Amino acid sequence: MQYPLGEHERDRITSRTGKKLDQLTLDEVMKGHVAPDDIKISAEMLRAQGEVAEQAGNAPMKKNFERAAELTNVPDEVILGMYNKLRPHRATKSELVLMAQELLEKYKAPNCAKLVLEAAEVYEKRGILLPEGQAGTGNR
Amino acid sequence: MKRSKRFEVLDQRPVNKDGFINEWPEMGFVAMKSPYDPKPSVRVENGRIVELDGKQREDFDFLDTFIADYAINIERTEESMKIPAVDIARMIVDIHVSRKEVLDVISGITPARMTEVINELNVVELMMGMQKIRARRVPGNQAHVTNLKDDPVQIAADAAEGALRGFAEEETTMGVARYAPLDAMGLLIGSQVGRPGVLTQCSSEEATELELGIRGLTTYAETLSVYGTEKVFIDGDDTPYSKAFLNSCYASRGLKVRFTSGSGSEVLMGSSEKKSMLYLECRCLYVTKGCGSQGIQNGSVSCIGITGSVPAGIREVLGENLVAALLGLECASSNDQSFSNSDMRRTARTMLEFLPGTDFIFSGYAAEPNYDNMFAGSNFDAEDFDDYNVFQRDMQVDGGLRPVKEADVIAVRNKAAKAVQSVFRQLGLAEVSDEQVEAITYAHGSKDTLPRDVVADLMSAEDVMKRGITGIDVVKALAESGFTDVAESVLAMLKQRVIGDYMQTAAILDRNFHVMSGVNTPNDYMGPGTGYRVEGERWEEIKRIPHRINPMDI
Amino acid sequence: MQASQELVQKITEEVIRQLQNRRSTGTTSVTGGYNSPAAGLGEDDVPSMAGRTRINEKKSDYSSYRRAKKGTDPKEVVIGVGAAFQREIKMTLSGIPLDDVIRNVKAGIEEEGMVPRVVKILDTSDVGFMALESAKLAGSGIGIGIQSKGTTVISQKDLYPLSNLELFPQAPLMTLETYRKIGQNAAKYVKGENVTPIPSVNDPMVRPKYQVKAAIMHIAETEQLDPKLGIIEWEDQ
Repeated sequence: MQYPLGEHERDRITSRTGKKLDQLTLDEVMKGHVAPDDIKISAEMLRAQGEVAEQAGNAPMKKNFERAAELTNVPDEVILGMYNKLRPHRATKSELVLMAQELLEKYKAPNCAKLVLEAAEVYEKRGILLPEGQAGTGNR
Repeated sequence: MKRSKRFEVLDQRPVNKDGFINEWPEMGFVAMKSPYDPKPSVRVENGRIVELDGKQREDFDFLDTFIADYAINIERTEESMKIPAVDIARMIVDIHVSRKEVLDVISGITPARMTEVINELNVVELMMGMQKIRARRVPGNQAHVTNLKDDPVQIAADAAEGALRGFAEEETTMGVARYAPLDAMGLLIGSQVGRPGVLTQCSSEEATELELGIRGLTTYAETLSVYGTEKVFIDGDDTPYSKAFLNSCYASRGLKVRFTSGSGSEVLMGSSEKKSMLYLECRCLYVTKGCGSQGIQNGSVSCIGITGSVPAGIREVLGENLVAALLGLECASSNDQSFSNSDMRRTARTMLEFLPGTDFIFSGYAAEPNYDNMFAGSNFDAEDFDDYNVFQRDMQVDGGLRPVKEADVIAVRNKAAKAVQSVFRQLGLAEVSDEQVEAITYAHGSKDTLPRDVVADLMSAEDVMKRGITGIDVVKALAESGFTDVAESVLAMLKQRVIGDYMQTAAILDRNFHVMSGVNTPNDYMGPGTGYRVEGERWEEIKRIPHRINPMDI
Repeated sequence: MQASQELVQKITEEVIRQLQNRRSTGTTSVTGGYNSPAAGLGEDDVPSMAGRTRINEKKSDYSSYRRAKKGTDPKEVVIGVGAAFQREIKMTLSGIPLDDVIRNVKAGIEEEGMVPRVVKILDTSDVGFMALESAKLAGSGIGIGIQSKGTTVISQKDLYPLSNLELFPQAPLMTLETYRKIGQNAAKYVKGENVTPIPSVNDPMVRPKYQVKAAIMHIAETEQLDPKLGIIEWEDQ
């Protein structure tokens, strides 16, 4: 796909819910046909942006787009909760491992799962995990 | 001692009210180079970095581990590390070596080597480097839009005026954190009244900021803070891993994100590990790069009082901006915090980014008088608008702003205030009176506006969060109250997140929502006759400052 | 003089080597300007601190103090003060005596019918965490963190560490009246009232004037931390 996709690939762009750009008009909004989820990006578009980043020579950015593509199907509340668990002193090692498993199996998010698993190991080494048995005492 | 009258005069000069301190490496009060900075080194085994800047893998803290695994180009590193720092420094200023070649070499060097490279460059060379290495072809500018009362209507009016004056991005924050949803809405609406396509953000606690972003009440985020030592990172309540995850969260909702760092924070928080400010900032920038962020806000930022207090501090600030650019990051180069009582000194400091141009010269120019700036004062404020326009004209430099007409400013301020009034009414939020709209239209700052009912506002703010009001609701409310053009613009901003083009490096939008980033409009400077030049219509616009002499009047 | 040719050659080689070295390391001398000090730098009137790793050589010992426990009184508001509070540091950044600061915050709490308790926090000097830890200790769940330099946060036990009910980041602008109001507002949060936050004040020139001093005071506070002790009762009867 050719960047900017919004100019060169307009017809191929769909939102997370499958809406085309010409369905996201003010008319449609006023008719109540546009829900908040319709203005969210799709995994396909994120992967396409990842390709753009890679061609521009930015490998870490491509990886970020890959992780982001995997997270498109994780609900808002869940994603906020996961982020909070990754903060220092918020989770036990098994909580993080279970989170990695959930990402891998439930959300088919292997790159995110890998990041979380690595975090679990680094956090253990650096002593910023909660002791086992104190699960769930993190904020919120 | 009998006092010299000359010295008595000098002692009273504003610059002598600034804080200065000797270098004290043990406490981190050292800008460019500390005797405790590590020696650069790298060793790769089985495709993994096992030694980084003198430390073995088992001794890595979480920054080292993350940098080794995510930020350094492992295929290139051993090759790049063979090149002496001075040779890399020369490539940076050599107009015959392209930006891309420089970035390729840099992708393999370590933070300690990067520190050495920057130490080889004096300020003029750093500026030359920035002119060549910054990501986007045309420089840009960002505004802070805040006020002491956290008044969302004033925020809308100042945002509209700021957008008209040329800011490509606008950022707000609050004195009372709970005002966030209302102020984010005011900013979103006001910005689109002033100039369609301006990006907006609301600086708040990480999780709140993400939520506002997901809701579509902001269009980008910036306050993803990273720090140069493990201790301070933990005090900041994050790790490189949580930040990488958070960055992906934002991207998964189609939001542009930039990280924030800046030298001096580790000193201020008492945990610099005796390292130089530049080295610690390099670590921050490597983490940012490793997270896959498109950009960074840096240049000491809110700790400029610390970095500015030590010898070569201001050179270091430009140095860290250049490190960001060398890593291929969009650089929003600070200048956003008051740091000197001296008008001369604060101007001199800004010239280092203004002259070469950065992706955002300010990462918050106060679009209000500084007494209303809730980031504790910016380096330039609304009262400096005309000075700034004259700088652009004097030196034929594009600083991202333009001269404007009073009547146009009054018109957009009024429209923005009325739009917010109507949206709040449509959504059943706190009332905005006609008197308030009138006062804010003509106001300079919050001293000229009416008091808000804070308790009612805060209940409304809570209501916005509880009811799950989103950007779509704002679009509807605008259209229902007759602000169809503004509704169209806000909707067009929301659609950006479906497309995602503006998540690429250093992206901004023009008034037709065309993206301009480092990918489709890359910096192509390679010496005289190349790169961005101020000419044509833009130059004519810059020339038209107010208060020119009309020969016919004489 | 027989060796002279050899010597000349040796010297020439050495000079070339030096020149090349200089080129490749880029360290052209900068001491040769016409303004370079002729007779050295002379004495500096500000002593160098380089080499010192602490501000106060001595560390206070609090091992005999009672560890702070979680309160049960629903009217209790906990004030968590910094590690150097009233010991190594006696005045805020703007020069207000810390004795008066604490007296006013307590008075504010009492005026609203609530009960203050003062603890000293020895495991963090970050004001956000200090306030949150205080809130978690308080029977009411409302806490106030006060750094020795005067920076203050009101927090509630279930907030994010870096979030807050009210934050007063600009220590130099604080007055005793503000501290009293902070006590009052904290108490009002306990009562579940709709509290009007204390209006923000702002002086854009605070940073250039005070940031370095703030850093030094924070270092002096941080070096007094004693994480093993955690939090102690500070005004034990």
